[in-house]
Amino acid sequence: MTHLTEPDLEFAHAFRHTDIRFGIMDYGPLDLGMESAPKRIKLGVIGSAETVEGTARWIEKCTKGFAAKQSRQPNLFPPFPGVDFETTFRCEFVTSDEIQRVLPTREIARLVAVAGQREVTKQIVETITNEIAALAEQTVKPDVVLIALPVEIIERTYNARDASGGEEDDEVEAGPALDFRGMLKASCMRLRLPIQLLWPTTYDPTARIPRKLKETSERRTQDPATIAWNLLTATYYKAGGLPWRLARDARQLRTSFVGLSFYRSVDGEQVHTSTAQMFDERGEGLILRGGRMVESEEDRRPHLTAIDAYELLKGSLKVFRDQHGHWPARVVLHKTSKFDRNELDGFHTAIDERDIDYADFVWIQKSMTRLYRLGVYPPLRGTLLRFDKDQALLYTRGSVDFFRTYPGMYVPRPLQLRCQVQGQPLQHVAEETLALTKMNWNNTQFDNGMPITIAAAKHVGDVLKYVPEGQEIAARYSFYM
Amino acid sequence: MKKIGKSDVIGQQGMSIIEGIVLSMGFMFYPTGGVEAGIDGFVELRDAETGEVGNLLLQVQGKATERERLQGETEQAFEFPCVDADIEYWTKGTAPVLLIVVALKSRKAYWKSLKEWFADPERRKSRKVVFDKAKDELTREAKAALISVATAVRPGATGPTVKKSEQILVNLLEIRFAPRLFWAPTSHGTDKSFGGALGEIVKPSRGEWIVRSKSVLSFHPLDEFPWKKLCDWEAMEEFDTTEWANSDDEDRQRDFVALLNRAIGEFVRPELYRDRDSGVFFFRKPNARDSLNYAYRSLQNTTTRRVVGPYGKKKSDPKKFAYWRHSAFLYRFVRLAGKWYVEITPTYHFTHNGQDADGYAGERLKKIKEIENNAAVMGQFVMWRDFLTTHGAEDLLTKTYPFLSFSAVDPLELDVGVPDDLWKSQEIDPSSPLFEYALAGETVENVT
Repeated sequence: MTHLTEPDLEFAHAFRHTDIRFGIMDYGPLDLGMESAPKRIKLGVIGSAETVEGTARWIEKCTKGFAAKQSRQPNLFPPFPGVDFETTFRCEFVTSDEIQRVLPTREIARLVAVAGQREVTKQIVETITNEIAALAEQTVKPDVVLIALPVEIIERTYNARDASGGEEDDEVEAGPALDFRGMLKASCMRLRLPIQLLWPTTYDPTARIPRKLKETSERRTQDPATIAWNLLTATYYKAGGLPWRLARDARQLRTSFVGLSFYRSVDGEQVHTSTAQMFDERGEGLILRGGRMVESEEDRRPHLTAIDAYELLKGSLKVFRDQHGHWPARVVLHKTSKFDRNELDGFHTAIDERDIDYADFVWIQKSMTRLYRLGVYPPLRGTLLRFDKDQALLYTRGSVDFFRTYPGMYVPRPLQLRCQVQGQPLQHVAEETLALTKMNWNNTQFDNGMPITIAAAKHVGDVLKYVPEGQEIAARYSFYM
Repeated sequence: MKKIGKSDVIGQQGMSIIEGIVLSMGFMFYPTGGVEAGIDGFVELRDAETGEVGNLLLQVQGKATERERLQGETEQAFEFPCVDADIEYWTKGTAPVLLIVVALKSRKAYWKSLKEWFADPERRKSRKVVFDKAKDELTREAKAALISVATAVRPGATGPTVKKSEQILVNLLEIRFAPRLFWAPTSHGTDKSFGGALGEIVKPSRGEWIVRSKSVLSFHPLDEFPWKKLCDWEAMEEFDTTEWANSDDEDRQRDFVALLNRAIGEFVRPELYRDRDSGVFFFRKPNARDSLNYAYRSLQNTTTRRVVGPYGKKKSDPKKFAYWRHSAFLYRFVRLAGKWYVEITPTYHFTHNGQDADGYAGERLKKIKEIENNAAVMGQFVMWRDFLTTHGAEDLLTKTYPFLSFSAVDPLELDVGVPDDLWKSQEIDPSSPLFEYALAGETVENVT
């Protein structure tokens, strides 16, 4: 058993830090000084009169920043120092009347009165998409659109997912409930404007959302500085910025990280694969849609056919080449289920075709095998237990030395890593997996449970299931996160 | 004859010059002394008027030289080359590091704040500190600059990981199983039909068998009563259990696990019941009493834990209990590095009367899982480990269970740890039950 030290991230001018927020504070975002770095991000806002106003005021406040939460854990709750050319993102976040659109009160009332979860979701998605389309056609286009959802709409579009226990909706509807978020992202993808959903709790800590919707306690407890960190970082990324990337040794092989996940189509009939690729040189994620799954006789779970596996990886490699002008020297595939024989065959064919010598196919799952410390706090994030040369347990959630606490509830579950094809030592694969958990641009607290490969592929699937087949899909991860 | 080297004297001369200047600013200077990795001393900022100190520290790396000419020296400047390891060390620390070069011939000192200097990637690449002989001279006048360096420090520094060796338990128990397996054809096509027929011959019937494609696989010799009644015992074959246990064939492994699942069900009798829906094993409520305590050997001593107990009050009748909570565990047989283990996950089972499942079980489980910390679950695991490793041992009335047994896995050692007490003292609400070690024994009383 060993402990992996917290991997470093790279910020502006190749400066490194363990922590995302301190890295950005101290050094600025990765792309600082690059031509492509956003300098002035125009934020469109869509919502009710009230939410648009609240959001605009909040953007204004972000300029000045928010004090740290009162605590003795300054590394967990740092202040948000504000945004301008000297602090944090070294970039402005602005909004103005021309890029704001207010839904009339009557329209909102009409929408939320629509009966049935599926129907109301469809109509709200349509209405908001139309508003985004209107912004997309303006001469002055926003870079990112904040969708400031009014409470009434949140109540109708977010499912309480039996959080209330047994209190079931008595309406009977055709098909499963629609996921508002995924559907909206899919619907406005063609408009090429990334969006960011916002709840009133963002700018107003006293805002009341019906209790049964608040499944994640985080929404309740996040302090203004943390909210600002998370939202502005996501927005910076969506506006084309690159906040940070993995700090890697230049001697390491040029690696393409590919995450695979399966999703079920809306009609519930078909299962497709999505992939998300992470290129560490750019900290960039690109998206592909793969073939349909077949149920394998080996374990009765979704798998790709050999042809689809081949096509998918071939496509992934091509995307990498288009970006970098050369093929990767190494391919790392992450998947949440076992690679079956057909998948292995297909992926190998694609790799052999490009003479790629190094490949790691890693099956990553949350494990029920746990470690218990003889103390109050759970094992440290980074704790690695190797069972074999190709199988290990890795704690990605757990006590964090940098935060001096366990920033979570519930006793954490580690990841089980199984290398079905192994090009690098297990220790290296584990270190890499741990580092990839820090590549979530939606969360500036670095201790995410899943590596971004898998988390992103899952998010992509959540959105792609609502994109009709044949329609062009956005390649940048910004449209899915 | 004992000697003190020339370089030591040079170093000491440099330090006295630095100390002199620092003291002249009204600040304190503390030489590191003893073992150090390059930091020769600390400057502590001090209000020269009031004498107040605020624990604002600057680290000093001193370099004294007797050279006439410094490296790359011109009228205005000179250079100081650095190695990567030093730059890394200086820029990563919690306190700012000042590099102070003392030219002994001229008795002049020059300073640079290294973290700031190397913040520029070009400079970092060149691995040189370039001193401006006019601007960088360390004199009393540099006082304000030193203050600004010290106060620019923010939280966010990465400290060294706590080197504290600790023991960690893994929720696995090693298993041993019967060495032989028996196979025979049968006319029954499913577990259900075979089980039904078996139940008509003997009651209660044993469960260590599975039916797969018209044949029985069992730990019991199938040519004995009552098995021989249900299968073609003359065609029976005997196998080494390892042919299933170590097989790479997934179907065989699944069958083996199915058999182990049947065996553990028999093993835990009669104390534990299995809940059909969740598959967990739980302590049943005794008929005559409301609660049940289980005595076992915990990590340090013998304790008892309340494993069944009533909680809450009924809304309709406040004199009655709302529900019973039963200690339970989820289990899974896993093969790791060629060995078989059972993975034990402590959980709870809820009933509304001590017998039948409680309608709000999901909610109650969620609530208790929110409160339970590592220590709490670890405590329960230790109890289940004790139960499984001691249960079924031979006594006057019963023989040792022949098909399956469990043994503890040695604790693992990790050379980094968590300082629980220190962390707890810094929590926003240290009195929260989340940080109670005693949670581990929420219902435990020590038996002395």
